[in-house]
Amino acid sequence: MSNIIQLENIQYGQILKNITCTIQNDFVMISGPNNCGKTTLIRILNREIKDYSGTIMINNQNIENYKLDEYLNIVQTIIPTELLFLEETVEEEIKLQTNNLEEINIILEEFKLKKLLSKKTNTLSDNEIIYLQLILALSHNPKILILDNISSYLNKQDYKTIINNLKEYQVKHSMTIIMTCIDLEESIESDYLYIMNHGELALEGNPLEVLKKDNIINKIGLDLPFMVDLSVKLMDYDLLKEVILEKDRMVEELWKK
Amino acid sequence: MEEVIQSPIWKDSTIYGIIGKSTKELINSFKEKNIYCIKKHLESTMNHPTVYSRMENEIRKRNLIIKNLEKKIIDSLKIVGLRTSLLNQNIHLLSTSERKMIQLAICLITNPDIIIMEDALKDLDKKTKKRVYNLLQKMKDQYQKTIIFISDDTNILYQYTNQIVIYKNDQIIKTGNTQEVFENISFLKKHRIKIPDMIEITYLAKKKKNIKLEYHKDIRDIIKDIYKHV
Repeated sequence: MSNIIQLENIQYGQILKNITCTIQNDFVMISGPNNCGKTTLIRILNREIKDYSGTIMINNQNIENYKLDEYLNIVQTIIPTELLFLEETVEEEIKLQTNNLEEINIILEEFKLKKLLSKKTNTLSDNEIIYLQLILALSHNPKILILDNISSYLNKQDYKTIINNLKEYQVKHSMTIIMTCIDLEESIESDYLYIMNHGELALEGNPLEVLKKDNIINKIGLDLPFMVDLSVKLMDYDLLKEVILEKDRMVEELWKK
Repeated sequence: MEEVIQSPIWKDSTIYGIIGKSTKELINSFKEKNIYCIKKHLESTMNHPTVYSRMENEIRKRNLIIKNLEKKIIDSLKIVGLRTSLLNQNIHLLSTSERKMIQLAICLITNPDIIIMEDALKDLDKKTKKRVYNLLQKMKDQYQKTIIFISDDTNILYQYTNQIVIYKNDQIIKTGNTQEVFENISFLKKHRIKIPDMIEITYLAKKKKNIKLEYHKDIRDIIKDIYKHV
């Protein structure tokens, strides 16, 4: 069963103007140009920012009514801009941060990451740092996992691997994933896409349907994924009937005998 | 055996793109030269928490004599398109793009010969990308700077660079004109380098349907070309 997250009239200074939406899909992407308020919204959901106005309900309960430690067992958030590890090795760091060691072991198995344990925290690659954060977050068995622009820390290949791992994990644990991104290419994988602009929600819906609104997206100032851009433009010329994401299929469709 | 190519002579007024996994060594080989590296991320530090003190410190560290530093810092912030009220803010509250633009501002003040940008133009929206690129282009054209983009995004490298350097197993295995390198499909495939999207469409049309499109950089040109051939 999906989780339901209801945001009503969320406002925060000049940054967030009036966000109202109901998130009920499993894999949700929030995109938008630089400084449109994505991370601020995430910080509110993470209860770092408290002086916002409006209400947020998760499964019909106002989030402010949860005790913080209770809340962290429901919602786990990773904002990777500032990460600091205190212990020398990954294993020690894990022991410092969580008591759910059994859970950690299961996740390490699942992600095939046992090797990570003995590594020194100051020698971790960006990819390993994200994995460590992820493992720590998942050890809480959260219902909702929020990831703020993690692709920024990962090369394309590592990003794909992490997303695939997460999707497998999600199916087993019926967890909601909410992510933010700038590159709309990443949104194609999601079930539902929100596009923010100047602290408001500008567009929402099924990713491919949203991405077809090329004029609005251009005005907002985001690049369309290449194949979507190509498809929409070819559709304007009546050379194509639908968005095609695979280049092979596009070539077949354009020059079929 | 791969043919090992000597480190390129980094020419003035050129934008290079570097593809490769561990490019740290290559960057280190620049040490003696006057370079500035715009890193993926600007982490905050305890000693210089605010934007102003951080910028001042980064500049002082480089032993440069700069008159009117305060004015230069304010001007540079305006040039990169940031509000000057940001100067008193703590770095850990800044957004991803603001952290990149602060580094670009420091770079403008320190006036290096070589500017390296890690994960070039990543995480930036259209407008910000354009602003960064235009600024770097101006540095290149008017002040003869060498610009180096490090990236695994071949679409960006194809779009924005003049020369490509491919780095593998701590060695340079190819250098060349961007267009030529990316049109060399068999080489890209052999080394598992992603073919830029624009190139790949043209390549597939030829390979599968024997349609001779040209290689383009602007999506509107490829649309026109397809239109002519359908």
